[in-house]
Amino acid sequence: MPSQERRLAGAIIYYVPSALVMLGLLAVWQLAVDLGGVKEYILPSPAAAIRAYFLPNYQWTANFLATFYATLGAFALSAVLGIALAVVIVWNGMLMRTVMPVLVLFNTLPKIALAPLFVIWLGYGIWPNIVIGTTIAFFPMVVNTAVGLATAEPELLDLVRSLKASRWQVFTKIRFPTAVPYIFTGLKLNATMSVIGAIVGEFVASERGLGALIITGGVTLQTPSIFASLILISVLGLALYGAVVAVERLVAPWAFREQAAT
Amino acid sequence: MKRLLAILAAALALPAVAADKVTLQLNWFHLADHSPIYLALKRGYYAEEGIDLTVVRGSGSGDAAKKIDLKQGDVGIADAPTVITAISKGADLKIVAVVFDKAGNNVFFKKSANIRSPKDLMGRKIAAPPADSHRILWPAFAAINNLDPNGITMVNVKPEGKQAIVAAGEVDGSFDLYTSFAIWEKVLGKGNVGHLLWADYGLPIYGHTYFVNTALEKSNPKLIERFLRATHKGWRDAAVNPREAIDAMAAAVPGLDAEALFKTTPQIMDLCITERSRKYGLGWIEKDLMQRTIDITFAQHKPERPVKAEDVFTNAYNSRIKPLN
Repeated sequence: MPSQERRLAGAIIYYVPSALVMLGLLAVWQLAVDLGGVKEYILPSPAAAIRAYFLPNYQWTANFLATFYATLGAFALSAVLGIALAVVIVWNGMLMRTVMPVLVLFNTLPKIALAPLFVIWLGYGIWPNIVIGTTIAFFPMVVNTAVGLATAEPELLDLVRSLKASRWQVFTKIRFPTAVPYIFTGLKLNATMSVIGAIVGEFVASERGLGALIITGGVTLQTPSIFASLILISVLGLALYGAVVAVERLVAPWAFREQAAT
Repeated sequence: MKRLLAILAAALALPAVAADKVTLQLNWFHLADHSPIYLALKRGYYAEEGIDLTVVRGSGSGDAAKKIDLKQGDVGIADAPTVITAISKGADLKIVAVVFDKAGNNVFFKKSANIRSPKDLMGRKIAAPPADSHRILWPAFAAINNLDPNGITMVNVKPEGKQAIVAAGEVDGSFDLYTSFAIWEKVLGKGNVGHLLWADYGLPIYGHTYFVNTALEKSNPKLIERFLRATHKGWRDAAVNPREAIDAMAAAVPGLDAEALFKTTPQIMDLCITERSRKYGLGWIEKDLMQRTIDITFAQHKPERPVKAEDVFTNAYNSRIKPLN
C-alpha cells in the first residue's frame, strides 16, 4: 500500500538524522582516540569497548541479568507502590496533607548516601537493590499519578456529581482515565530511575551486576569493560523506556496523541 | 655591625627561592600511614628541601595511578600491583620507594567465625573492596596455599562499608589491610577481631609505594630525592613519636578519629620498619621482591606488554634515611 510506504519513508526521514549524529559522534570518538594516542585505560575507543564483550571473564550474561532483574523489580515495585499511594492520598485529603510532606522530605535525601545503610539493614543482592531502586524511582510515580488524578476537569466532576455518581464511579470513569497519561509519564521516569537505582545498589555491595563490573573495572584499570557496561546499562534503560511507550500506545492511544500534539 | 649582620642574614635567607610546588596524591582518605607526612610538614622537613607540599585525598590506588600518569599530581601513593598493572597498560610511571616493606594484605573476620588458616576460608563469603589489591592478589595467595581461587565468593563492597557488612553477618570476613586493625576492633569489639596476615602465609610482596611520572624523572630528578628525604625523615620521627604524627595530621585534616588512628600505628610501623629498611634506608626496594610482586600481579592474566622489574622501580632517589630504633 502506498500510504504504508509513505509512512515508512516518513519514519526513515524522521530517524535518519539522529542516527547519523550518533554514528558521527562514535566516529569522532574513535578517531580522537586513534589519532590522539590516548591510552586505552584512560579512554578506550568504541571498538575497544565492543571487544570487551568477547572476553568471557566478564561473564556478561550473568552480570547483565543481575542488573536486569533488579531494574525490573524496582520498576514493578515503584509502579505498584507509587500508583497505590497516589490513589490513597488523592482519595483522602487528610492523607494528602500528612503523607505528601513526608514523601517530599524523603525525596530530598540523596539516596546514594542511604544505599550503604540499606546494605547493613537488608544485606546485599537483588532484593536490596530492588528496594534501593524503588526509593529512587517511586517518587515521580506518586507525584505524577497524584497530579493526574487531581486534574480532572471540575465541570465534569460537578456534572457527574449532580447525576449522583458514586465516589467509586467518579474515580473509575473520570479521575483514572484523566490520570493515565500522567501515569505513563511517571512510568517513563520510573524506567530510567530504576536502572540508576540498581546500579547504585551494586556500587555499594554486590557479587555480580553491571555496577559491580564498573567498580572493579575502575580499580583494575580495565576501562574498556566500564564503557561496555555503560552501553549495556543505557540499552537496558532505553529498552524499558521503549516498552513503556509501546504499552502506552496500546493501552491509551488517546494519551499518546495528546502528548504528540503538545 | 649589627646592621651588617642583619643584611647578611637577609642575604642568606634570600637563596630560598620560591619553593617547588609538589602535589602528593594519596591512595585513600587519610589513615594513620599518612601521618608521618604531616609530621614532616610540621617539623618543616619539606620546607628545608624547598618543597611546598600539597596533600590530596585519594579514592583508590587505580585513581592515584591514573592521576600521576595524567600529570595531575607529582608523587602518588598506590599499591605496587596497581602501579605495575598501570605500567603494563602504558602509563608512564616509576616506583621510587616503598611505603611498606611488607605488604599489609590481610583478611579480617569475627573470632567466632573459626578461621584459623587460609584453608578455612574455603566456601566462605568474603567482602573484597575493589579499592585495594586483594582482588588481584587473591588468586596468587590461594595458589601458594594450594587452594582453589574460586573457593570463596568475593562480594564487591564499598570500602567504607566493609566493617559493617561483616558486623551484620552478611559475609564471613573481609579483605582489608592489616593497618586498619583498630578500626575493626572499634566496630566488632575488642578481642573479637580475628585476622590472617597474608605475609605470614607465603605472600611476601610489596604493598604501598611512592611513584612518579617518568617525565618528572627527566625534568627534575633532584626533586624526587628531596621529597623522599623529607618524607622519610617524617617516618623516622613518627616511628619514635607516633602520637605527635597523628596529632599533626588530625590538626591539618578535619574530621579524623585521632584515637582510632593512633591505635593502628604499631601495625603500621611493623610493616614499614624492617631489617631491610634498617640496612639500606627507609623506602628501599629489593629487586627480587619487586620481581615477585610483578609475577604475582600477572599470575592469572598476561600483561598487555611485558614488564620487567628494572623498568618499574629505581632506588636512585633513596635518601638512605634509616630508622632510629
